[in-house]
Amino acid sequence: MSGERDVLVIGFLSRWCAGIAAETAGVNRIKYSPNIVFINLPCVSRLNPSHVVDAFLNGIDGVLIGGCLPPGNCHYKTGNFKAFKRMYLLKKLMAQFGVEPERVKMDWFVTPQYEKIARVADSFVEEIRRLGPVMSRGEA
Amino acid sequence: MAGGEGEKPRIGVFVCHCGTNIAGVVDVKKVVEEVSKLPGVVHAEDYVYMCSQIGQQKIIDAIREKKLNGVVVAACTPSLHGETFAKAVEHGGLSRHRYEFVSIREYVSWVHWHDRKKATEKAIREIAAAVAKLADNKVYEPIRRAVKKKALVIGGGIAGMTAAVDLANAGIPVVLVEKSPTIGGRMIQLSMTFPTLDCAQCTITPKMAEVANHPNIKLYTLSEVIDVEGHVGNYKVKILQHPRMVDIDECRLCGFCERACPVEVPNEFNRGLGKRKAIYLPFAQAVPSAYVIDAEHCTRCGLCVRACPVDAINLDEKERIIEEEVGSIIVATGFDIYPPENLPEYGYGIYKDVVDALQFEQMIVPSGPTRGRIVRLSDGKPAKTVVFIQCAGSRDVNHLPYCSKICCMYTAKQAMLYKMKVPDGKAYIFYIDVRAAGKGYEEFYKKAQMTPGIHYVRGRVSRVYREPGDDRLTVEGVDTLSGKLVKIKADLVVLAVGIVPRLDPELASKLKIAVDEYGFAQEVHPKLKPVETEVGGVFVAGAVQGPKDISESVAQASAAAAKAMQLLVKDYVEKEPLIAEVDEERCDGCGICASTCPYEAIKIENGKAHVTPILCEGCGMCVSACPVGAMELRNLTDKQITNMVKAIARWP
Amino acid sequence: MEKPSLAIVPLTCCGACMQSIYEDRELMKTITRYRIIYWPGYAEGELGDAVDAAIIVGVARTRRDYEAAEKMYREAGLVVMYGTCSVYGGIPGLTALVPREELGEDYADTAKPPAVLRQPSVLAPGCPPSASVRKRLAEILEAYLRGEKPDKTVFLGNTESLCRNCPLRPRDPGRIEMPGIKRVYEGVSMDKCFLEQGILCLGPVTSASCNHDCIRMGLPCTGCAGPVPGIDDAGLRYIGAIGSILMVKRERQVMFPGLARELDKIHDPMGLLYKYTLPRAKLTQLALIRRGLAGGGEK
Repeated sequence: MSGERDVLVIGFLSRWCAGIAAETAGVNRIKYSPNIVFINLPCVSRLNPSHVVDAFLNGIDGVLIGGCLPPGNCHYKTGNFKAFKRMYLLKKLMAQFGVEPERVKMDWFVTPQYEKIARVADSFVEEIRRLGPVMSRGEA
Repeated sequence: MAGGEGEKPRIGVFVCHCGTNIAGVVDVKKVVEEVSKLPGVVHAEDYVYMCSQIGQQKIIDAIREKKLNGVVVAACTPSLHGETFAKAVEHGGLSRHRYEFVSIREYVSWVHWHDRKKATEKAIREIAAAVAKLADNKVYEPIRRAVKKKALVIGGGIAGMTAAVDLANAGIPVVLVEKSPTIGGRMIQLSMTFPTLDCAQCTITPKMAEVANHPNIKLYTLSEVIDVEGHVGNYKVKILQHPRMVDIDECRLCGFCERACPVEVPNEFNRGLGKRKAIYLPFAQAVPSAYVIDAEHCTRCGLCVRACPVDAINLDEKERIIEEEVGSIIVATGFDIYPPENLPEYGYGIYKDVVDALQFEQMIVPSGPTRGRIVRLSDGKPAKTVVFIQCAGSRDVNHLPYCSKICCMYTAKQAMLYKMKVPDGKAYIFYIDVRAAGKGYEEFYKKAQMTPGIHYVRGRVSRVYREPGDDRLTVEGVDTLSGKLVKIKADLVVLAVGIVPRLDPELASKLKIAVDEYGFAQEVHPKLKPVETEVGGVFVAGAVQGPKDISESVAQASAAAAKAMQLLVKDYVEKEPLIAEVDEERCDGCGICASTCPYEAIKIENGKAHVTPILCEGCGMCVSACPVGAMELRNLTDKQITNMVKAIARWP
Repeated sequence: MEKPSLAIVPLTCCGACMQSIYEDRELMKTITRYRIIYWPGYAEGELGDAVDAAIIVGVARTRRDYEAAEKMYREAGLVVMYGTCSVYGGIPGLTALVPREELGEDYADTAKPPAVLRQPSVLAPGCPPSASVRKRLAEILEAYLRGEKPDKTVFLGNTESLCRNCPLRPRDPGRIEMPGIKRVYEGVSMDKCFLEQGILCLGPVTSASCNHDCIRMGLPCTGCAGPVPGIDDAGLRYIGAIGSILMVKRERQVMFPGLARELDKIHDPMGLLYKYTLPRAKLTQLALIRRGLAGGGEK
């Protein structure tokens, strides 16, 4: 497979805020790029940095993390802060390995922000298209 | 039950058209064709309305005929039909843990209608992820824990008493803890209640008697909760009871002790307007009905002991610690008034004739320190002109930014009561806005406003002072309606002080309940969960949660009692078992998981982490915190997440 | 019967592991019961074909390293990985991402611990391996003389993390908070957990094969004995752990910018997290694949 292929992005969403926002985007028929596939988690703090790296190793080109808007909206009180610290450090680490840190994006939502989630998904897919595929998929 | 460990996955995938909602965009036939090829999938079909009776029957039949041990439904959204299909799956004989829902409507067809090919691909990827996850889903029994059928109510004011009596009447034993020597709270200090002008004491004393005599209520006065351990349905509570030094059962209320006592201190019941002895009865209708010794001021001279005809006094009584086990806790610790000393511009503490609203209440009460006469406290002369200052401390960024809610109404009430007592007197009320939202409140306020001799002045008071040689106070303010400066000579100034929560931060932290920036207890949701706290089984009632009048406090207390009942009538608390789990073999007891858990659900014991199942909310924060990978979240393990990612990446 | 032959094969390494063998009398006693056919500095000569047992020391970085390691896997019945470099990469493994072009013709594309090339018989991590590891190695070598061979890979390191028996206990293991990030020169105290002092200590993810020597000396763990076995990527795990307890009680006050400022004090996360394990990092694998090279992964 060549580097020409279109990009594929995964969005890990907290099911309480970003997840509901994504669902509401559907109800309101807000279109966004189909190149992003969402996985709902109880909380983005469930995500381990190695899940993100595993995604890249499997040819996923970008990882979006949609958590609850701080400070007061996290369903589990402080999960968003945990996710932020982990992903912030992971991005610094990725840069040292020559893997574009822009391939990981964190954003924060409250449930009514369904237009925002569509907009963020689109702009992230565009950003990843600009960066190109993380590698030829299927090589790992 | 099917779907046990080690069994090879036999998964059925059911793709819904949702009429044309899904099928109009997603090529469902292609989806079925592709997902049939996924490892573990032994059956795949599509149907126009999967949620219909026929659609559900298809799932049930396939489980039975194809011996499925897992079901994936790709349809609208779990919030709409997640439960519908879970029931169908259970009907077919599978656990709901062997079922996954994939949203291909809200997450696919309704947002990708502009690109059918990619929408179809995305639907396949999503289903592939669910199939990959489902392969490792295990079946867990719900978590159950027996419930202690007893409740603790903290605070013996009108809210606490109401909650306690409601629970007790429902047959639930109640432990009522009150800090002061008697129950009754703030309400017993009041004269009349708005908007009906009923006697507050006459209204509350039957309730107090009910508490005192109820076989299901155990009352601890002079007591504080000093320790709380446990979780919803099972709390262990330590109560510290200070010595009363008077035997409740022996005391005959003869009052000989009081007359013998040489120590005189300001009486807190009327906010220092009167005096009481070191041995005293808080007020005539106090419950428990017995004298009490104020340990702080008692000199231990022993005169009361000699005076007591029934030997009810024991100066050597020690404090004691009581342990109680309860299933639910209601916090009803009430409010304090905003300290009027913080408002020196209004002259409180400088001039005797400036009083706070609670003191004024006590002046109205016939049994109060002024025997019900409205007089100048400086010289006892009748108060012919009274100025009421509303929002004293409230709606003021330098004091309390919030509205204390009750002051407009109690000021209107006090002005009317004043006019009844002093028909030729004049009352001036300075206000910012009058807030009279409540049943009968606006009418009540209008009545006050129409009463001859009551003058509402819209504006704030800048200062209260005494001109030299004048025996009256000068109140200086602005009438913002006329734009004129007003100066009023007043015999008495009443500050309508705001209210602040009376919730000891230490108690809040022991209960693990959150407080807001002002110290009020934080409810979970202002609209939908107004009496619930973040802590399961702990509820709030009354002014501790926010400014409230009596009727609202009572309503909230009954609501809290009802919530506690919902919990306590059950034999078990039950919850979703998809929680964190420790692999004890691998755990090194470093404590990082426990330190990050927002629910204190993890304890380190004997060098290993232990999850308290009933406390765990299943967020998974600890799982990604564990440095050695000894923690897992049931049915969302590290392996499952990675397998989902792989499945999404691998197709086509 | 003739004594079995033994080759001790240094790949790219610093020499300290060799020294640790020389200095261990018991281990030397066992080793010298073998017929040592190759051990630079002890028995000079070419690395021949007929080898019964091999002890490999160091990381494979040069082409010759790879060839030697492959040869030992092919020929020897017992293959021992001695020292952190051979198991995880160690300090010379830090060259994993230095392109061959910068190093010269003799070098391979990347550095790989020989332990990942095939299935070794024994893993003896440590920088250098501690006395207890050496003792157990001597026992295995003894047994092999009797013809007994482990049927699957034996891990001689400690399977527990340093936290398990750390001399610096947290005051309350249920409430560890890193107050911020501090460096050792800013001062450490010896009465509580390093993490509670804001010192980045790799103890939570590192195998306690070392007797806590550094920690006893007032230095945080840098991970020299390699990760606790079974963790798929200790560096990434450590990020998860630090992200959990850093300023955990002040998150809402300092918010994201405050947390970022604190995390920016970690200037070299790669060096912190993979000082001894870089070739086995998942991100190394990814970086190599992106360069068109085969990933240097596990197995």
